[in-house]
Amino acid sequence: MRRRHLLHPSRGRLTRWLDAEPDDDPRLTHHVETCDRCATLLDDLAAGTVPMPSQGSGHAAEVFGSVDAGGAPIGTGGALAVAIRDAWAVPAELPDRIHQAVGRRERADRELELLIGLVSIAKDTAELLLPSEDEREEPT
Amino acid sequence: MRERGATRLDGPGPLVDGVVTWPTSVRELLLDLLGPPPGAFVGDRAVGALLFTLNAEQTPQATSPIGGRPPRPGGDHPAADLDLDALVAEFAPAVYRLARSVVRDPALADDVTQDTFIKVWRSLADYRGEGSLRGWVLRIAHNTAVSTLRRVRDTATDPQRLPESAAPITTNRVVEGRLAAEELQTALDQLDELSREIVVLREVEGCSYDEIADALGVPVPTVKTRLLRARRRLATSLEAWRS
Repeated sequence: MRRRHLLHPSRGRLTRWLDAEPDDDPRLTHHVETCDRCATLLDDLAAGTVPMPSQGSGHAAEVFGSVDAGGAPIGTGGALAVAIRDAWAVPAELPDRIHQAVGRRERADRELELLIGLVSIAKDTAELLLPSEDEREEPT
Repeated sequence: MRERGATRLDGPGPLVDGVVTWPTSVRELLLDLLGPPPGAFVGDRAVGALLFTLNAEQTPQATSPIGGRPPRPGGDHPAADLDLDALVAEFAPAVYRLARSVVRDPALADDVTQDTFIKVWRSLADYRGEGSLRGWVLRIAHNTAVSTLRRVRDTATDPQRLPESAAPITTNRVVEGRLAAEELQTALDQLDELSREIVVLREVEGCSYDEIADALGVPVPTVKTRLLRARRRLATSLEAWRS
């Protein structure tokens, strides 16, 4: 049986897909999320470097106008970045807690080495005190 | 001089970060039991391990003769010049926010950040300089956060211990002055886990598409499209927050 391949969707369809729920058209979602050409076209539509679809251009302009609401494409100083930093502020004591956690683990590692060394003491002592296989063999 | 055999060992201490802690008196106990120079009858490996451990504080960059402590990067290793302070100062905020975007709970995100830095510090010698150090650290953070979330979901029975789930805004939650922030928080919560991570890495940390794809283990088109959809979904709440 011949498998049907999904052709690259039109700009209008991409615009509608962007505004829909991901589960509405899982096949199209899978295509767009793995197709570099379609993903780049969406990026270009949002950046305004390619023209909007002719049909429903008002809706498309609204959709792509809003996706840039976070500011510049790399919006580290944009409104969305500021909002997320505000909502998920990093605790001031976090660096200290990280240092303590790493310090505890390093101490534990050292103690583990010590315990391994203690086991080796017993093993090496036993090897020295007990006769080897060759020594135990009686001459016939 | 101390009397031999005078020190008592009370056994291992409590579990801290998943490892058994031993009392500091272990060191004293061993010195006490073995006395000065252990003598020729003790195996070389044991002597090496013992001397290494007892001198560890004086030679923090030394490598264990047996195992336990991982080797530190040295020489011309790309991370040879980095110390823990520099790593924490550079990456802790990004790791925390990435963890927060996955586990959605401040305390859990704190734990994930600590675990991430333990792993980073222990495996720094494994970093080969392929790709950015930030991408490498963020990949460890992502993996740690995802596995922590999975473990919490598998083991938690008390609903209070589960990370906060996305909740619709109700009239009770509408508190004047906090509505916009809550709405944005809710909008972030309603994004899927991957989209939240992508938003944080791109918008807040300024990572490139390639860096994000590498850190999260997804194709670049997925990064681009999830980001656009997430921005579209956050747009309304963001407008409210801005105003």
